[in-house]
Amino acid sequence: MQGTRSFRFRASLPLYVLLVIAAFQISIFPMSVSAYSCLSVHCYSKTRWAGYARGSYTAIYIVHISDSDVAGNRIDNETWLLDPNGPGQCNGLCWVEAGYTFVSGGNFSGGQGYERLFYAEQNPVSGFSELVDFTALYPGIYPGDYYGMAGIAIRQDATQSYFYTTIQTPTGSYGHYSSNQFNPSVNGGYTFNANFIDSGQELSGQNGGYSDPASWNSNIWIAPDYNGYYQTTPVDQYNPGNSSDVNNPPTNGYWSTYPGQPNSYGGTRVTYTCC
Amino acid sequence: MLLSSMRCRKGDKPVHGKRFVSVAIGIATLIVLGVTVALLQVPRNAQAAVSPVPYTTTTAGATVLLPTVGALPSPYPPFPSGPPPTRPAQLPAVTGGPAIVTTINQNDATLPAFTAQDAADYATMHPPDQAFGRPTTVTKVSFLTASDMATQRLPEIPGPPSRLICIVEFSGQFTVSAPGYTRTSTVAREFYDARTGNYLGVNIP
Repeated sequence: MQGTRSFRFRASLPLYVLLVIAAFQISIFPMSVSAYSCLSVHCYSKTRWAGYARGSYTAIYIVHISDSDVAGNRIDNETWLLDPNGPGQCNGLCWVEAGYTFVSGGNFSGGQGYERLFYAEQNPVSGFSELVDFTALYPGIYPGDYYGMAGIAIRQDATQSYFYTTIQTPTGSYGHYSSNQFNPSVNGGYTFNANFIDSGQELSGQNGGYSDPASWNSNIWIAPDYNGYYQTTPVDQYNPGNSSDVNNPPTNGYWSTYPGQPNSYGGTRVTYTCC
Repeated sequence: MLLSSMRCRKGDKPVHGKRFVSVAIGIATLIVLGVTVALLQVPRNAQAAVSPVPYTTTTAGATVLLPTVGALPSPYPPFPSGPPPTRPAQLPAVTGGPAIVTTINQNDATLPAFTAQDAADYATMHPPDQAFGRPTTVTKVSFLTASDMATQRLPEIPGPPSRLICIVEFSGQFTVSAPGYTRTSTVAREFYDARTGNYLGVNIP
Protein backbone atom coordinates (compact mmCIF):
# COMPACT_ATOMS: atom_id res chain seq x y z
CA MET A 1 0.00 0.00 0.00
CA GLN A 2 2.85 2.33 0.97
CA GLY A 3 4.59 1.53 -2.31
CA THR A 4 1.47 2.26 -4.31
CA ARG A 5 1.06 5.62 -2.57
CA SER A 6 4.67 6.43 -3.28
CA PHE A 7 4.25 5.49 -6.92
CA ARG A 8 1.11 7.62 -7.16
CA PHE A 9 2.94 10.56 -5.69
CA ARG A 10 5.88 10.16 -8.02
CA ALA A 11 3.64 9.59 -10.99
CA SER A 12 1.71 12.73 -10.13
CA LEU A 13 4.79 14.84 -9.53
CA PRO A 14 5.12 15.94 -13.16
CA LEU A 15 1.49 17.02 -13.03
CA TYR A 16 2.21 19.24 -10.03
CA VAL A 17 5.20 20.68 -11.82
CA LEU A 18 3.03 21.26 -14.84
CA LEU A 19 0.53 23.18 -12.74
CA VAL A 20 3.24 25.31 -11.18
CA ILE A 21 4.67 26.15 -14.61
CA ALA A 22 1.20 26.97 -15.95
CA ALA A 23 0.59 29.30 -13.01
CA PHE A 24 3.96 30.91 -13.65
CA GLN A 25 3.12 31.45 -17.31
CA ILE A 26 -0.23 32.98 -16.48
CA SER A 27 1.44 35.34 -14.05
CA ILE A 28 4.02 36.60 -16.54
CA PHE A 29 1.88 36.44 -19.67
CA PRO A 30 -1.51 37.70 -18.48
CA MET A 31 -4.37 37.87 -20.95
CA SER A 32 -4.33 41.65 -20.90
CA VAL A 33 -1.10 43.62 -20.80
CA SER A 34 -1.07 47.38 -20.53
CA ALA A 35 1.17 47.99 -23.50
CA TYR A 36 0.70 51.75 -23.63
CA SER A 37 -0.95 54.55 -21.70
CA CYS A 38 -3.33 56.35 -24.04
CA LEU A 39 -6.57 56.10 -22.12
CA SER A 40 -7.45 59.47 -20.69
CA VAL A 41 -5.07 61.38 -22.94
CA HIS A 42 -4.83 59.82 -26.37
CA CYS A 43 -1.52 59.18 -28.06
CA TYR A 44 -0.50 60.74 -31.33
CA SER A 45 2.26 60.10 -33.76
CA LYS A 46 1.93 62.98 -36.13
CA THR A 47 3.55 65.81 -37.92
CA ARG A 48 2.34 69.39 -37.55
CA TRP A 49 2.69 72.23 -40.00
CA ALA A 50 1.90 75.77 -38.96
CA GLY A 51 0.73 78.70 -41.01
CA TYR A 52 -2.52 80.12 -42.22
CA ALA A 53 -4.16 77.83 -44.78
CA ARG A 54 -7.48 77.37 -46.52
CA GLY A 55 -7.15 73.64 -46.46
CA SER A 56 -4.93 70.60 -46.68
CA TYR A 57 -4.26 67.46 -48.65
CA THR A 58 -2.49 64.22 -47.85
CA ALA A 59 -2.36 60.78 -49.41
CA ILE A 60 -2.56 58.17 -46.67
CA TYR A 61 -1.38 54.67 -47.37
CA ILE A 62 -4.28 52.33 -46.59
CA VAL A 63 -3.03 49.53 -44.38
CA HIS A 64 -4.61 47.10 -41.99
CA ILE A 65 -5.34 48.54 -38.58
CA SER A 66 -7.22 46.98 -35.70
CA ASP A 67 -7.95 47.41 -32.02
CA SER A 68 -8.97 44.65 -29.64
CA ASP A 69 -9.01 46.83 -26.54
CA VAL A 70 -12.29 47.14 -24.69
CA ALA A 71 -14.65 50.03 -24.40
CA GLY A 72 -14.64 51.63 -27.81
CA ASN A 73 -10.97 52.44 -27.96
CA ARG A 74 -9.64 53.11 -31.40
CA ILE A 75 -6.77 53.61 -33.77
CA ASP A 76 -6.98 56.11 -36.63
CA ASN A 77 -4.79 57.09 -39.57
CA GLU A 78 -5.95 60.57 -40.38
CA THR A 79 -5.43 64.28 -40.90
CA TRP A 80 -6.67 67.31 -38.96
CA LEU A 81 -7.23 70.97 -39.76
CA LEU A 82 -7.13 72.96 -36.52
CA ASP A 83 -7.80 76.42 -35.17
CA PRO A 84 -6.28 76.81 -31.68
CA ASN A 85 -8.44 79.84 -30.94
CA GLY A 86 -11.79 78.10 -30.81
CA PRO A 87 -14.49 79.82 -28.75
CA GLY A 88 -17.70 78.47 -27.21
CA GLN A 89 -18.12 74.72 -27.35
CA CYS A 90 -14.78 74.38 -29.09
CA ASN A 91 -13.34 74.95 -25.62
CA GLY A 92 -10.10 76.27 -27.06
CA LEU A 93 -9.70 74.16 -30.18
CA CYS A 94 -11.95 73.91 -33.22
CA TRP A 95 -11.15 71.25 -35.79
CA VAL A 96 -12.24 69.01 -38.59
CA GLU A 97 -10.67 65.59 -39.11
CA ALA A 98 -10.94 62.76 -41.59
CA GLY A 99 -9.26 59.47 -42.26
CA TYR A 100 -9.83 55.82 -41.59
CA THR A 101 -10.39 54.19 -38.25
CA PHE A 102 -10.90 50.97 -36.38
CA VAL A 103 -12.97 51.26 -33.20
CA SER A 104 -12.83 48.23 -30.94
CA GLY A 105 -15.96 46.14 -30.85
CA GLY A 106 -18.50 45.74 -28.12
CA ASN A 107 -21.87 47.06 -27.20
CA PHE A 108 -21.36 50.58 -28.33
CA SER A 109 -23.11 53.01 -30.50
CA GLY A 110 -22.08 51.81 -33.92
CA GLY A 111 -19.32 51.58 -36.48
CA GLN A 112 -17.11 49.32 -34.39
CA GLY A 113 -15.14 46.26 -35.23
CA TYR A 114 -14.07 47.02 -38.77
CA GLU A 115 -11.96 49.48 -40.72
CA ARG A 116 -13.95 52.38 -42.11
CA LEU A 117 -13.58 55.94 -43.29
CA PHE A 118 -14.70 58.67 -40.93
CA TYR A 119 -15.17 62.39 -40.51
CA ALA A 120 -15.60 64.36 -37.28
CA GLU A 121 -15.57 67.98 -36.20
CA GLN A 122 -15.56 70.19 -33.15
CA ASN A 123 -17.41 73.46 -33.72
CA PRO A 124 -18.23 76.36 -31.40
CA VAL A 125 -21.99 75.73 -31.30
CA SER A 126 -22.47 72.06 -30.47
CA GLY A 127 -18.97 70.86 -29.69
CA PHE A 128 -17.67 67.52 -30.94
CA SER A 129 -19.77 65.45 -33.33
CA GLU A 130 -19.22 62.36 -35.40
CA LEU A 131 -22.08 61.46 -37.69
CA VAL A 132 -22.00 58.07 -39.32
CA ASP A 133 -23.38 56.69 -42.47
CA PHE A 134 -22.30 53.13 -42.94
CA THR A 135 -23.82 52.73 -46.35
CA ALA A 136 -23.04 55.86 -48.31
CA LEU A 137 -20.79 58.60 -47.03
CA TYR A 138 -18.30 56.72 -44.96
CA PRO A 139 -18.30 53.03 -45.67
CA GLY A 140 -15.89 50.36 -44.67
CA ILE A 141 -12.53 49.94 -46.34
CA TYR A 142 -13.04 47.58 -49.26
CA PRO A 143 -10.61 44.77 -50.10
CA GLY A 144 -9.50 46.63 -53.22
CA ASP A 145 -8.50 49.66 -51.15
CA TYR A 146 -5.73 48.05 -49.14
CA TYR A 147 -2.23 49.09 -50.06
CA GLY A 148 -3.64 51.86 -52.16
CA MET A 149 -3.87 55.53 -51.24
CA ALA A 150 -6.65 57.51 -49.62
CA GLY A 151 -6.32 61.05 -50.97
CA ILE A 152 -7.90 63.30 -48.36
CA ALA A 153 -8.52 66.98 -49.06
CA ILE A 154 -10.17 69.33 -46.60
CA ARG A 155 -11.10 72.66 -48.14
CA GLN A 156 -12.72 75.65 -46.50
CA ASP A 157 -14.96 77.73 -48.72
CA ALA A 158 -13.99 81.26 -49.72
CA THR A 159 -16.30 82.86 -47.14
CA GLN A 160 -14.88 80.57 -44.45
CA SER A 161 -18.34 79.28 -43.60
CA TYR A 162 -17.96 75.53 -44.09
CA PHE A 163 -15.57 72.76 -45.05
CA TYR A 164 -15.81 70.22 -47.82
CA THR A 165 -13.88 67.03 -47.25
CA THR A 166 -13.16 64.62 -50.07
CA ILE A 167 -11.75 61.15 -49.70
CA GLN A 168 -10.66 59.29 -52.79
CA THR A 169 -9.74 55.64 -52.41
CA PRO A 170 -8.90 53.08 -55.11
CA THR A 171 -12.54 51.94 -55.10
CA GLY A 172 -14.54 55.09 -54.50
CA SER A 173 -14.83 58.84 -54.01
CA TYR A 174 -16.67 60.44 -51.13
CA GLY A 175 -17.56 64.04 -50.35
CA HIS A 176 -18.77 65.47 -47.08
CA TYR A 177 -19.88 68.95 -46.05
CA SER A 178 -19.17 70.09 -42.52
CA SER A 179 -22.04 71.29 -40.41
CA ASN A 180 -23.25 74.84 -40.89
CA GLN A 181 -22.09 75.68 -37.37
CA PHE A 182 -18.75 76.89 -38.69
CA ASN A 183 -20.69 79.65 -40.43
CA PRO A 184 -20.10 82.98 -38.62
CA SER A 185 -23.75 83.92 -39.18
CA VAL A 186 -24.79 80.78 -37.30
CA ASN A 187 -22.16 80.61 -34.57
CA GLY A 188 -22.22 84.22 -33.45
CA GLY A 189 -19.40 85.63 -35.57
CA TYR A 190 -16.50 83.22 -35.15
CA THR A 191 -14.39 82.54 -38.24
CA PHE A 192 -12.32 79.36 -38.36
CA ASN A 193 -8.73 80.20 -39.21
CA ALA A 194 -6.82 77.04 -40.06
CA ASN A 195 -3.46 77.67 -38.46
CA PHE A 196 -2.34 74.08 -38.00
CA ILE A 197 -2.37 71.01 -40.18
CA ASP A 198 -1.66 67.71 -38.45
CA SER A 199 -1.30 64.34 -40.08
CA GLY A 200 -0.63 61.06 -38.37
CA GLN A 201 -1.96 58.34 -36.19
CA GLU A 202 -4.19 58.52 -33.11
CA LEU A 203 -4.40 55.75 -30.55
CA SER A 204 -6.62 55.41 -27.51
CA GLY A 205 -6.70 52.77 -24.82
CA GLN A 206 -4.07 50.61 -23.18
CA ASN A 207 -3.50 47.62 -25.39
CA GLY A 208 -4.65 45.74 -28.46
CA GLY A 209 -4.03 48.45 -31.04
CA TYR A 210 -2.31 47.43 -34.23
CA SER A 211 -1.29 49.08 -37.47
CA ASP A 212 0.83 47.99 -40.35
CA PRO A 213 3.44 50.60 -41.28
CA ALA A 214 1.57 53.55 -42.71
CA SER A 215 2.63 56.72 -44.42
CA TRP A 216 1.32 60.18 -45.24
CA ASN A 217 2.51 61.34 -48.62
CA SER A 218 2.35 64.32 -50.92
CA ASN A 219 1.45 66.64 -48.06
CA ILE A 220 0.07 69.92 -49.35
CA TRP A 221 -1.24 73.09 -47.81
CA ILE A 222 -3.95 74.98 -49.66
CA ALA A 223 -3.60 78.74 -49.94
CA PRO A 224 -6.57 81.17 -49.89
CA ASP A 225 -6.41 81.21 -53.71
CA TYR A 226 -6.79 77.40 -53.61
CA ASN A 227 -3.41 76.75 -55.07
CA GLY A 228 -1.68 73.89 -53.36
CA TYR A 229 1.91 73.93 -52.15
CA TYR A 230 3.99 71.05 -50.92
CA GLN A 231 4.77 71.15 -47.25
CA THR A 232 8.40 71.63 -46.40
CA THR A 233 9.23 72.25 -42.78
CA PRO A 234 7.16 70.72 -40.01
CA VAL A 235 7.08 72.57 -36.72
CA ASP A 236 6.50 69.50 -34.66
CA GLN A 237 7.11 65.86 -35.17
CA TYR A 238 8.01 62.85 -33.14
CA ASN A 239 11.63 61.90 -33.09
CA PRO A 240 12.90 58.86 -31.27
CA GLY A 241 14.05 59.67 -27.79
CA ASN A 242 12.40 63.05 -27.74
CA SER A 243 8.99 62.85 -26.19
CA SER A 244 8.67 66.54 -25.44
CA ASP A 245 7.60 67.57 -28.92
CA VAL A 246 4.93 64.98 -29.47
CA ASN A 247 1.58 64.72 -27.86
CA ASN A 248 1.86 61.79 -25.50
CA PRO A 249 3.58 59.14 -27.57
CA PRO A 250 2.88 55.57 -26.50
CA THR A 251 5.63 54.18 -24.34
CA ASN A 252 5.85 50.97 -26.31
CA GLY A 253 4.24 52.09 -29.51
CA TYR A 254 7.22 52.01 -31.81
CA TRP A 255 5.90 55.01 -33.59
CA SER A 256 8.10 57.39 -35.41
CA THR A 257 7.66 60.01 -38.02
CA TYR A 258 10.41 61.33 -40.18
CA PRO A 259 10.68 63.76 -42.99
CA GLY A 260 10.77 61.68 -46.10
CA GLN A 261 12.66 62.07 -49.26
CA PRO A 262 12.43 64.21 -51.19
CA ASN A 263 11.21 66.66 -48.61
CA SER A 264 10.42 69.17 -51.36
CA TYR A 265 7.47 67.05 -52.48
CA GLY A 266 5.57 67.40 -49.28
CA GLY A 267 7.59 64.77 -47.56
CA THR A 268 6.60 61.32 -46.53
CA ARG A 269 5.80 60.71 -42.92
CA VAL A 270 6.07 57.15 -41.80
CA THR A 271 4.45 55.56 -38.82
CA TYR A 272 6.11 52.39 -37.79
CA THR A 273 4.10 49.34 -36.85
CA CYS A 274 1.93 50.16 -33.91
CA CYS A 275 1.64 49.21 -30.93
CA MET B 1 12.05 14.04 -13.19
CA LEU B 2 10.83 12.33 -16.31
CA LEU B 3 13.22 9.48 -15.68
CA SER B 4 12.17 9.14 -12.10
CA SER B 5 8.57 8.97 -13.11
CA MET B 6 9.40 6.12 -15.47
CA ARG B 7 11.35 4.15 -12.92
CA CYS B 8 9.66 1.43 -10.83
CA ARG B 9 10.62 0.46 -7.36
CA LYS B 10 11.76 -3.04 -6.68
CA GLY B 11 8.74 -5.13 -5.84
CA ASP B 12 6.21 -2.93 -7.48
CA LYS B 13 3.73 -4.68 -9.63
CA PRO B 14 3.90 -3.99 -13.32
CA VAL B 15 1.65 -1.03 -13.91
CA HIS B 16 1.93 -0.40 -17.62
CA GLY B 17 -1.20 1.82 -17.76
CA LYS B 18 0.05 4.03 -14.94
CA ARG B 19 3.50 4.11 -16.47
CA PHE B 20 2.07 5.23 -19.78
CA VAL B 21 0.16 8.04 -18.08
CA SER B 22 3.23 9.00 -16.15
CA VAL B 23 5.38 9.11 -19.28
CA ALA B 24 2.75 11.14 -21.10
CA ILE B 25 2.61 13.68 -18.32
CA GLY B 26 6.37 13.85 -18.29
CA ILE B 27 6.51 14.55 -22.01
CA ALA B 28 3.83 17.21 -21.63
CA THR B 29 5.92 18.78 -18.91
CA LEU B 30 8.89 18.97 -21.23
CA ILE B 31 6.76 20.57 -23.94
CA VAL B 32 5.40 23.18 -21.53
CA LEU B 33 8.91 23.88 -20.31
CA GLY B 34 10.05 24.35 -23.89
CA VAL B 35 7.19 26.72 -24.66
CA THR B 36 7.93 28.69 -21.52
CA VAL B 37 11.57 29.09 -22.46
CA ALA B 38 10.57 30.09 -25.99
CA LEU B 39 8.11 32.67 -24.73
CA LEU B 40 10.69 34.16 -22.43
CA GLN B 41 12.86 34.82 -25.46
CA VAL B 42 10.11 36.81 -27.24
CA PRO B 43 9.63 40.49 -26.46
CA ARG B 44 6.37 41.38 -24.76
CA ASN B 45 5.39 43.30 -27.84
CA ALA B 46 5.75 40.91 -30.72
CA GLN B 47 5.73 43.75 -33.20
CA ALA B 48 8.94 44.97 -31.66
CA ALA B 49 10.66 42.06 -33.29
CA VAL B 50 9.71 43.26 -36.75
CA SER B 51 12.86 44.21 -38.55
CA PRO B 52 12.91 47.71 -40.01
CA VAL B 53 15.76 48.89 -42.19
CA PRO B 54 14.84 49.54 -45.76
CA TYR B 55 16.77 52.78 -45.97
CA THR B 56 18.31 55.38 -43.76
CA THR B 57 18.28 59.11 -43.49
CA THR B 58 19.80 61.62 -41.17
CA THR B 59 17.85 63.71 -38.74
CA ALA B 60 19.53 66.24 -36.48
CA GLY B 61 22.86 64.63 -36.96
CA ALA B 62 21.74 61.13 -36.13
CA THR B 63 21.22 58.34 -38.59
CA VAL B 64 17.84 56.77 -38.13
CA LEU B 65 16.26 53.74 -39.68
CA LEU B 66 13.02 54.02 -41.54
CA PRO B 67 10.57 51.14 -41.66
CA THR B 68 9.48 49.85 -45.00
CA VAL B 69 6.06 50.72 -46.28
CA GLY B 70 6.30 48.58 -49.36
CA ALA B 71 6.01 49.86 -52.88
CA LEU B 72 3.74 52.88 -52.69
CA PRO B 73 1.25 53.26 -55.51
CA SER B 74 1.82 56.08 -57.91
CA PRO B 75 0.44 58.47 -58.89
CA TYR B 76 -1.36 59.58 -55.78
CA PRO B 77 -5.06 60.45 -55.97
CA PRO B 78 -5.29 63.85 -57.63
CA PHE B 79 -5.18 66.98 -55.55
CA PRO B 80 -8.56 68.69 -56.05
CA SER B 81 -8.18 72.05 -57.68
CA GLY B 82 -10.17 75.19 -56.99
CA PRO B 83 -12.66 76.03 -54.27
CA PRO B 84 -15.07 73.46 -52.90
CA PRO B 85 -18.58 73.18 -54.33
CA THR B 86 -21.28 75.41 -52.92
CA ARG B 87 -22.86 73.91 -49.86
CA PRO B 88 -26.54 73.11 -50.44
CA ALA B 89 -28.95 74.73 -48.00
CA GLN B 90 -30.24 71.27 -47.25
CA LEU B 91 -27.75 68.43 -47.10
CA PRO B 92 -28.71 64.94 -48.24
CA ALA B 93 -29.96 62.85 -45.36
CA VAL B 94 -27.54 60.38 -43.86
CA THR B 95 -29.16 57.02 -43.33
CA GLY B 96 -26.98 55.78 -40.48
CA GLY B 97 -26.68 52.20 -39.31
CA PRO B 98 -29.31 49.76 -38.02
CA ALA B 99 -29.98 50.13 -34.29
CA ILE B 100 -33.38 50.44 -32.56
CA VAL B 101 -36.11 48.06 -33.71
CA THR B 102 -39.23 49.93 -34.83
CA THR B 103 -42.42 48.79 -33.17
CA ILE B 104 -45.13 51.43 -33.49
CA ASN B 105 -46.63 54.02 -35.86
CA GLN B 106 -45.33 52.17 -38.89
CA ASN B 107 -47.69 53.98 -41.23
CA ASP B 108 -47.50 57.51 -39.83
CA ALA B 109 -44.36 59.29 -40.98
CA THR B 110 -44.92 62.17 -38.56
CA LEU B 111 -44.57 60.04 -35.43
CA PRO B 112 -41.69 58.06 -33.94
CA ALA B 113 -41.67 54.40 -34.86
CA PHE B 114 -40.45 53.37 -31.42
CA THR B 115 -41.00 54.52 -27.85
CA ALA B 116 -38.75 56.58 -25.63
CA GLN B 117 -38.34 53.47 -23.48
CA ASP B 118 -37.22 51.47 -26.54
CA ALA B 119 -34.60 54.14 -27.19
CA ALA B 120 -33.45 54.25 -23.58
CA ASP B 121 -33.17 50.48 -23.43
CA TYR B 122 -31.11 50.32 -26.60
CA ALA B 123 -28.90 53.28 -25.71
CA THR B 124 -28.19 51.92 -22.24
CA MET B 125 -26.64 48.90 -23.90
CA HIS B 126 -24.88 51.00 -26.56
CA PRO B 127 -23.35 54.06 -24.86
CA PRO B 128 -21.05 56.47 -26.73
CA ASP B 129 -17.59 55.05 -27.18
CA GLN B 130 -16.21 58.34 -25.81
CA ALA B 131 -17.09 56.93 -22.38
CA PHE B 132 -14.25 54.42 -22.88
CA GLY B 133 -15.95 51.89 -20.65
CA ARG B 134 -16.79 54.22 -17.80
CA PRO B 135 -20.35 53.96 -16.43
CA THR B 136 -23.03 56.00 -18.14
CA THR B 137 -26.68 56.73 -17.42
CA VAL B 138 -29.43 57.65 -19.85
CA THR B 139 -30.96 60.80 -18.42
CA LYS B 140 -33.33 61.96 -21.14
CA VAL B 141 -34.95 60.85 -24.38
CA SER B 142 -36.60 63.39 -26.65
CA PHE B 143 -37.93 63.56 -30.19
CA LEU B 144 -37.26 66.73 -32.17
CA THR B 145 -37.34 67.75 -35.80
CA ALA B 146 -34.05 68.67 -37.42
CA SER B 147 -35.16 72.31 -37.53
CA ASP B 148 -35.97 72.25 -33.80
CA MET B 149 -32.51 70.91 -33.11
CA ALA B 150 -30.93 73.86 -34.88
CA THR B 151 -32.53 76.27 -32.42
CA GLN B 152 -31.21 74.37 -29.42
CA ARG B 153 -27.52 74.42 -30.26
CA LEU B 154 -27.60 70.74 -31.13
CA PRO B 155 -25.62 69.37 -34.09
CA GLU B 156 -26.96 69.80 -37.57
CA ILE B 157 -28.40 66.51 -38.75
CA PRO B 158 -28.40 66.37 -42.56
CA GLY B 159 -31.79 65.93 -44.18
CA PRO B 160 -35.07 67.79 -44.48
CA PRO B 161 -36.02 70.20 -41.63
CA SER B 162 -39.02 68.07 -40.81
CA ARG B 163 -36.91 64.97 -40.27
CA LEU B 164 -37.77 63.51 -36.88
CA ILE B 165 -34.75 62.73 -34.71
CA CYS B 166 -34.57 60.83 -31.43
CA ILE B 167 -32.05 62.34 -29.03
CA VAL B 168 -30.76 60.26 -26.14
CA GLU B 169 -28.85 62.15 -23.49
CA PHE B 170 -26.33 60.50 -21.17
CA SER B 171 -24.55 61.53 -18.02
CA GLY B 172 -21.07 60.22 -17.29
CA GLN B 173 -17.50 61.03 -18.24
CA PHE B 174 -16.92 61.48 -21.96
CA THR B 175 -13.52 62.31 -23.38
CA VAL B 176 -12.81 64.16 -26.60
CA SER B 177 -9.27 64.35 -27.95
CA ALA B 178 -7.24 65.93 -30.70
CA PRO B 179 -3.47 66.38 -30.92
CA GLY B 180 -2.39 68.27 -27.83
CA TYR B 181 -5.93 68.61 -26.62
CA THR B 182 -8.20 66.67 -24.29
CA ARG B 183 -11.43 67.61 -22.59
CA THR B 184 -13.97 65.64 -20.63
CA SER B 185 -17.67 66.40 -20.63
CA THR B 186 -20.30 65.05 -18.27
CA VAL B 187 -22.90 65.00 -21.04
CA ALA B 188 -23.13 63.10 -24.31
CA ARG B 189 -25.87 62.63 -26.85
CA GLU B 190 -26.70 59.98 -29.38
CA PHE B 191 -28.97 60.57 -32.35
CA TYR B 192 -31.29 58.09 -33.98
CA ASP B 193 -33.62 58.41 -36.94
CA ALA B 194 -37.03 58.34 -35.24
CA ARG B 195 -38.62 56.62 -38.22
CA THR B 196 -36.07 53.93 -39.04
CA GLY B 197 -34.40 53.53 -35.65
CA ASN B 198 -31.01 53.90 -37.33
CA TYR B 199 -28.07 55.27 -35.36
CA LEU B 200 -26.92 58.58 -36.82
CA GLY B 201 -24.10 59.80 -34.63
CA VAL B 202 -22.77 61.13 -31.36
CA ASN B 203 -22.23 64.56 -29.87
CA ILE B 204 -20.11 65.65 -26.91
CA PRO B 205 -21.10 69.25 -26.11
